[in-house]
Amino acid sequence: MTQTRRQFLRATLQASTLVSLAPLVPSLICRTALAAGSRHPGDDRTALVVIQLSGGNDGLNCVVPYADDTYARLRTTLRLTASQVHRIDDRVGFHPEMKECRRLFDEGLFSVVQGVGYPKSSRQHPDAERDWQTARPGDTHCPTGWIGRYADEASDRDPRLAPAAMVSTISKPFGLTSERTIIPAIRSLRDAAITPASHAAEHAEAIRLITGTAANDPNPMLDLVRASTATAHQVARRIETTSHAPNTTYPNSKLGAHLRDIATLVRADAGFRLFYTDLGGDGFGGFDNHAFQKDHHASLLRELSDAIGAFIDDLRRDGLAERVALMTVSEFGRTVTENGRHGTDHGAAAPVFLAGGALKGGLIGKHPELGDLDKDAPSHHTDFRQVYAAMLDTWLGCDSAHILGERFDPVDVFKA
Amino acid sequence: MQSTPPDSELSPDFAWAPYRPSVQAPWDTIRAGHLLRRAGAGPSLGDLRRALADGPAKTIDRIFHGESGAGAFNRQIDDYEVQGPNARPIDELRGWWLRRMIESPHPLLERMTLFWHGWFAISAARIGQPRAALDHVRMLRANAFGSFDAMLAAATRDPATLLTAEGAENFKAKANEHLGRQLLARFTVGDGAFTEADARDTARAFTGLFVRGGQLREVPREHDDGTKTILGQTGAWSDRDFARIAAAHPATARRITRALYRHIIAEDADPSDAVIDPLASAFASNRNIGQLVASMLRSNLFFSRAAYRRRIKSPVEFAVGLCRAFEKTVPTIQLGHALAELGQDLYHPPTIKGWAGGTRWINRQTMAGRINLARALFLGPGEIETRLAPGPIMAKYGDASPVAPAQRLLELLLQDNIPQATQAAGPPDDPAAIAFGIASLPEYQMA
Repeated sequence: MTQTRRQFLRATLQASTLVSLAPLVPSLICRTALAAGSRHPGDDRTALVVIQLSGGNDGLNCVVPYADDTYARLRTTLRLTASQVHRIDDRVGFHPEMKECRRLFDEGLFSVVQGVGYPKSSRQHPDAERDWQTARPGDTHCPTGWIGRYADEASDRDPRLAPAAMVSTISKPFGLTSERTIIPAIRSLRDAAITPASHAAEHAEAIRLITGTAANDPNPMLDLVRASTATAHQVARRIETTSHAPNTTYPNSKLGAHLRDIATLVRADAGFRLFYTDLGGDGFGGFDNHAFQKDHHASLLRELSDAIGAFIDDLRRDGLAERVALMTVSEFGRTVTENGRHGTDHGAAAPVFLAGGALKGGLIGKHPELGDLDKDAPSHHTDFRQVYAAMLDTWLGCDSAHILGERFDPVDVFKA
Repeated sequence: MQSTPPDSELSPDFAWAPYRPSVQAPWDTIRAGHLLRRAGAGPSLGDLRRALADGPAKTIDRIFHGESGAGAFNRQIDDYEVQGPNARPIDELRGWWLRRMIESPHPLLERMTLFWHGWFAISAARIGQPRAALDHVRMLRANAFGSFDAMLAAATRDPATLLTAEGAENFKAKANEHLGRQLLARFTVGDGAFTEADARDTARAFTGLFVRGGQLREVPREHDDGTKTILGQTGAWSDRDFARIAAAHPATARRITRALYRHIIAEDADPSDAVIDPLASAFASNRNIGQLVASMLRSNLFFSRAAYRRRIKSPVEFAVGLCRAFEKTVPTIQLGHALAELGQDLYHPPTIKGWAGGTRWINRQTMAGRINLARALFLGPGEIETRLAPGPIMAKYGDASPVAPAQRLLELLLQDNIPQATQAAGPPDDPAAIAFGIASLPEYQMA
């Protein structure tokens, strides 16, 4: 394309087409990327990041009851002592590798919801995973996942939205199964962008010039496609600019890369409200440590903690931490007693970790009593759907009862 | 299209009367392109010009019968899909189906097979056996234009359908009511047209049918041969009786007519009962799928502005249409992956409700995905290794004119808006870049 034609196109592009599209473009993208605006929970610019800890995370060695005799007695080789943990209070402390979580915890940007599980919880991976993913434990016919239903609901209100995305390379977990909405798998930012953005937009505009934009008939369906196309180009350009912006240094790990991409999509105001990513991979997952748990678990927790630390710092630098809440999910915790192979077996309740700038911070709920075990595992006092309800109702501003099938009392985790 | 009076479109008599070219509604490139998009996946320039020369009646006849050699072509692909007694892995089957759609001399057959795939919505992931999934799609293809009685009778005994509907276990002592509900709600009369008692007795009719190792097993002693009442009819019904009763039920006919209306005519507005009823009642009495499709494709309504650009191309239509336009097959296993990302994963509809379609195909993310796929197809680099080559195709159709190749590409891909094109500033000169630009337009996403 000649220089003159480029200039001509650019002029035309500013003068005509985008102006004519403006009323159709969702209000979301008309705001500039970095102006944070209001940051209240339920505001339409909040985003939730869900990290799946695949395999069943040993909660007891994350938020360690270091002063508990039962713990000390039953964890013969995996026990973490008072001098090893990052003490939270005189009962519990973080795993030594959760240094960054501890730092965020001290700054009020990290919360631990303790004792999370559900009644009659399954200790089989496929069943327990399915329960957390459908949020309808025991309903074996449930055709969709809770994130899929959230996305369907958001897209029923406005089909131009792409409400949720998986940012990972694993195969799509059942939780993202929707009836009506396409939930993309973003394996790298190239999937969300148009490459190269400016070039593609110019081509499209060049063609538009020769085809003319006058519609023969009003066609609302075509208008929706036009609006989505305009937004796609705008988001792509913002991703192109913001992904080159100087970032916090992320750890060189898969999760670090996924969270860096998510931060870019938040910064570019790409419009996703819910991001799903994972640590531990496909299949039964890396947290399923039936043998020689110690080092493996420690390295996963380091990856988790360092990535979350970098992510929150990155968002904070741009004043975006208050727009993002992060939550971990895992299908179950593990048994208190070691299994004789320096590992632990499938358990029940475990903590859910939260991070973000709008949280109250601190410990939420009490640490499960080890005197009151459920078949050798901590029992739950908070249903995982109460945590989902907090995210759906309070944070994403939708009706959790509709999505979860019944009303759950949201856990009180956000600042008023 | 704007010349057809809107009021007469709403009159069912006019709507379903056969279209005859007239001064107000001439047989032109626009109408020929519309027909070839809706009855296939879009034309090549050769298809378009031949349709223009042949007129609508002859063109529609050819669409129904397919080109010569269609039978041999399909048998050949059938052979490629298997290796001895086994089907190839599911991502290869997906690739072979896409290849069939791209190269088929009988595109309407593939389009109808895809329609029924959305209707029965089997999930290969749930079935676990590629052979059962393949056999299901072959059953759909064999019955795609035939009798819905035969289709439903085959589908309800098909291991893939039963596995997807969680109907592999049907013990006499524990009739599978979930299966009963799925059979009524998804495949036949639809939600609201049956009671829990219908679902229970439908489940009883299916007792004794099991799926084991991907095969249907009939166990007569597990069949409940008592009296059942299904949709108002009472008898000692079996699964075959269910298929017969449900296929002939008016609610089934209305649902299928409405679904086909969305698939062929328009998905931007729900048509009134007055528009649907004439076709639905004919279908309820003859259950002839081909005749229903023909009534739609030959109608005034189909060629009116109420239908024109009132559907959104599915991802498969989008990509297969580009390949057919440029008369080239790209690596279809890769293409299958790309289309799954755009929301249409063949052999894996999202749920047993099939694909929602319509405006749900397009949001800012999938639109970016379509533009990236178009770039990969025409310009690269990207997930597809082979490029489509608009330059040579344009050269093949000769007759150099001052506005070529842009005008000819517009004729091929969009048909309408050509008058404006001749007046406009020159586009980029590379045919591949122009084709990419057109495929990236909102207008191109409209079927």
